[in-house]
Amino acid sequence: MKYQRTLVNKNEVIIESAYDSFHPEISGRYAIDMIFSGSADYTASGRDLTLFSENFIFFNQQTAYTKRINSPSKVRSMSVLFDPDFVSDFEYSRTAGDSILLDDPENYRKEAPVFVEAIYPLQGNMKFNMLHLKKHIDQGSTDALMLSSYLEHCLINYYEIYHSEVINREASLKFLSHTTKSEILRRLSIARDYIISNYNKNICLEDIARIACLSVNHFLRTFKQAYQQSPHQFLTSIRLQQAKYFLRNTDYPINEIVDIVGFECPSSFIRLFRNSFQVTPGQYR
Amino acid sequence: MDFEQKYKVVYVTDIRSSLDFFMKKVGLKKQEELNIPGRDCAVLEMFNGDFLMLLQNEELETAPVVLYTDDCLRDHHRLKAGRVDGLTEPVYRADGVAIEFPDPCGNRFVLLEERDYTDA
Repeated sequence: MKYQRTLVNKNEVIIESAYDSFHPEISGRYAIDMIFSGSADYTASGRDLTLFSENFIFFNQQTAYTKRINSPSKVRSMSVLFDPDFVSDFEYSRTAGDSILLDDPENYRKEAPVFVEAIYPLQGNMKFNMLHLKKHIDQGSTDALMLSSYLEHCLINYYEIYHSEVINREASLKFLSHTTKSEILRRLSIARDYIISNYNKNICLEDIARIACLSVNHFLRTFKQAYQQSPHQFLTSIRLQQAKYFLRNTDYPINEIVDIVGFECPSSFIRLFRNSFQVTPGQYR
Repeated sequence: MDFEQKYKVVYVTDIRSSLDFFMKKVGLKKQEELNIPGRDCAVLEMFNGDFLMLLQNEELETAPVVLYTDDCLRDHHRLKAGRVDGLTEPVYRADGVAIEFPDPCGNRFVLLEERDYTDA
């Protein structure tokens, strides 16, 4: 087991490589937790979530969450814990004009932003920057200024993802009231996290709708409005993305990958894979 | 010999100040100085293993020179720590992340970390 904590001013980066570990009641800082291989279970705000490889989860500073790893294969993960002042300062410098920043530079201490907590795919610039950060820490870098610039870019990347996954999707909901839109998206986000956490199991629509506290019809309609696809199409896309991960990073036979990601038969998996990515799983590998 | 390594030739009007800039501010290592008749020439190794060849010339490059790196944020931090005037903040583009900076002669450089977003 490897557990490495690196302080970057008041922020912290934790790199863990373990088969079995338990971290109860983590709170007090904004957290971006990511998994590079394997999976980890989280409990937060009464929700049980599973974070799989190439995904990350965001927690607000006031959320107390528990992280548990219990796996036959080694799980590699990284947690970036942001000091609330660092995030508030970042938020303030993004939103306030130059003249306000000059006249009242300390104003950020008054407001701490609150985000919709959710699981997001670890991809694009966020993934590249976090892999660079991990490499520098693995190599023993202690240059706080350089590591801090990676953390700042982690927030830049997160804000971009948040804008497209939360703000834009909220706007696409067909309700007049902003409060209704926010509440519906919050519930859809809970449903989405449930689908991602249980992507490899047999889950039914009624269960997902119940977890989101929406009727099945309301859930189906609003999910499609927000994500431009049905929950079933979303589930299939998650399974295919995970299949891609296994094809890229393991030598498991395709039949085994089909089982792992929750498809019922190899032929439908191969057809869906080819339709989505224009190559067969074998060619992709 | 690594045949994958590439050479990038850049015209500079003052090779000493440019060489000093790329070694001290950018952090590149000098590989060798070549003796080309009538011209000074220095070869530096870039972060990604490619080579930058500075060639004394009366005229500068007319277009920005694109250099490649494997970690743009690291290099941005290094240039910022070296207080390079005219250094831009990293910009995310469709092909990766890039910064721009001038050398002492007035050439404009774009330092690009190419990123393949197909599966990332």
